[in-house]
Amino acid sequence: MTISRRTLIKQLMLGAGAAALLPSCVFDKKEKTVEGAGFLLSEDQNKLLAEIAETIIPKTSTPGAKDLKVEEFIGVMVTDCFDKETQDKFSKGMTAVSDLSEKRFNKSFIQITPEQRTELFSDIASKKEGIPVEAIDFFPLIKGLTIRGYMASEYILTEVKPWLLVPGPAKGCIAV
Amino acid sequence: MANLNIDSKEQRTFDAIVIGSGISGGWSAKELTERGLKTLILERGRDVKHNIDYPTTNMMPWEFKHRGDLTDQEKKDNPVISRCYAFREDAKHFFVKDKEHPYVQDKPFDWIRGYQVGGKSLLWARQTQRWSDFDFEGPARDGFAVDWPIRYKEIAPWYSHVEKFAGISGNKDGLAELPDGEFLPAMEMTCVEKYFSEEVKKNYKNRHVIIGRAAHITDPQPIHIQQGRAQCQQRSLCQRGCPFGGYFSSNSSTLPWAAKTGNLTLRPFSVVHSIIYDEAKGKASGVKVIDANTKEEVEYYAPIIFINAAALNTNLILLNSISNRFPNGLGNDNGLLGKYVAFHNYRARISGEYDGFKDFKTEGRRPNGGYIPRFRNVQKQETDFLRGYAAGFSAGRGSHSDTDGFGTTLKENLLHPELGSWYVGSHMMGETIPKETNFVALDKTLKDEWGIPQLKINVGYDDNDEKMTADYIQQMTEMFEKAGFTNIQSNDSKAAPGLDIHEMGGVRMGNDPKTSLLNKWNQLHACKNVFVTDGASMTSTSTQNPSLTYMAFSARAVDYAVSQSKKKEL
Repeated sequence: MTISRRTLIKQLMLGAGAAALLPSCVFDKKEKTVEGAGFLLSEDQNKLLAEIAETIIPKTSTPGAKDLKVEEFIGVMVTDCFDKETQDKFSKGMTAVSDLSEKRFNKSFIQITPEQRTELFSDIASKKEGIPVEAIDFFPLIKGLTIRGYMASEYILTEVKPWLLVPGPAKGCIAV
Repeated sequence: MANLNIDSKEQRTFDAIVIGSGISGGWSAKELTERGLKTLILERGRDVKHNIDYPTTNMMPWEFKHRGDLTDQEKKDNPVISRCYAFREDAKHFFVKDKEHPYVQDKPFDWIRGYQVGGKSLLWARQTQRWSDFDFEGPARDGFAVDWPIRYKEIAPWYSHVEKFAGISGNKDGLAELPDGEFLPAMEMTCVEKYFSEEVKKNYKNRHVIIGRAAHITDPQPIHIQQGRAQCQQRSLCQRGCPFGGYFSSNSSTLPWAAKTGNLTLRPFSVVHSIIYDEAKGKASGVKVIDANTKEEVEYYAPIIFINAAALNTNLILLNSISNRFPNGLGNDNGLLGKYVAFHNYRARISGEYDGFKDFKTEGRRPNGGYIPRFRNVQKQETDFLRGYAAGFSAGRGSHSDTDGFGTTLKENLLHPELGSWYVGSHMMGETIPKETNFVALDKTLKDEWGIPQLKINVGYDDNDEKMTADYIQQMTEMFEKAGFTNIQSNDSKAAPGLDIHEMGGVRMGNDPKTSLLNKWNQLHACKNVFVTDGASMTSTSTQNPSLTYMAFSARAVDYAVSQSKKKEL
């Protein structure tokens, strides 16, 4: 019985790190998992995820989601920590966003402009009529992951809101 | 390690054996080795050396692959242990894996365990309160269990002894129901904790909200420096193991101290099968061990044996120690071994907000909280349930951002959070009544990987627990309302017993060998050279976090055992 490589990997219950242990012959180049991406995303899908995250938290005068490789964090969390139901919601959502872009602009989400992406997301966020439910359900999920990845990044926790490993005695009541 | 099973009998003979290296076992070993006894600790898990074996202790949040979360597979593989609040990415390696240590839930019970040198002393919440006679007199006054064979004045000097060594921070609050101890400076209460404390004092006669008494060094004393421990830096990462030795654990404190005496032998990977009973001499002669890795049987011998395997494990060992003299388990003439197991009711929580103190906030982290000593039925029986509950209480102020949008607006909001309202929260810690119908026993057919019978746990809630839970919610709601807290939400999780991680009993202390297993010295009535000083010995549970009492019992019982041994009374 022949099974797809994707199914084989799922059957072996491999996560991001273990995938690296598989002999290279198991992978077809088209389906090669991207280093650090984790959730069986193709290179294209991983690029899409990066642009989605960047739209949610863009580069301004300070790093945005792409700079901080938030899509890698998202990939790991979806692969390792989500249950099957939520993983499906995530997959369907990614596809829905991709399809929406093709339908409206005749281009992939990666190719459209930031303004066009903002237009798409505004419609999704406001649950505008005609937006598929998969995209509507996906949006809070991907936003939450992006925010978490951003706020828990080394950059934020060292440069912006430093998290101290050794804070010393706390103060219970100080003036703001 | 040398192939100990082919060591001569002489090499396997010690002056004392301690089973378990956790919070009470470490103390037994410290006190025994200090008195010059060559002491063997048998620990079933791997070694965890202070600082060297704390793999996550200095990791930054982004260095954790899942930012602290468990994977879906880990949760599926560990349905029981993953319910424990501390079983997260940074400390999961200090917990057992469900599949490796099966047990039988005759009633639902979440048995939370940490099998390594140091045991749960690496993971505990470090809350420490003394018992008072209101607690010791509970069974006799209220007519349950049996009378404790000791009173506060006998244990008080031992509380002092262990507090000074361990390092306990707290405030001298002058409460009869919660005796003051040997305290290092207390940690700070937050604005709203202090406010709530004042409101409660105003609105109620005998209720108090105090800073928690906790096993953290806030001002290192010479004894702590000698232990190689320093001031707690309030990292609140205790469960990882602390490089400062800031909180008390066997690993940072009692075990290195015992090792320094030159009298300690620590044998990890030693699963205790049973106590060996010498029928001719009428006492225990040693311990049968199954090597955790090789599964080989090895015997170790000593004239004094301390069982500190943790409450239910100690029950298991005694139940599995079968001999002609004791066909139902060592010391079990009265059939009560394994019975009268109890725990703490941790089912209920309450939360709220406070709109005041807008110009104030907290700074830093605090591995401690506020504490409300039991106020129900203290002086006399007053409610429709027996005994009562203590409670944690904490108030903090978070910051939050409006995360409604996306893009640059969202980013700006995230980068510039605003201070929110003060939030308040409390959880219940209720005393449960030990009953004969709450018990543990050996499964007749199922065994674990080492050929030892699996433990059947048959422990559940009763009507007293239900009434007490309802009372906690009602009283705390009223106290919150009177203090002007808003958005008050309470919840009864109806969780199975066990997540309190304060299971106790089964080898209870008492004056009468017909109704108890241990005498006032934690000594088995029927086998004088065996002592039990962990949670298994508890005749009742009261409301206090129990570890401090286990430490005091251990030190006191060793003192007695050694003096008795010198008088050839053991």
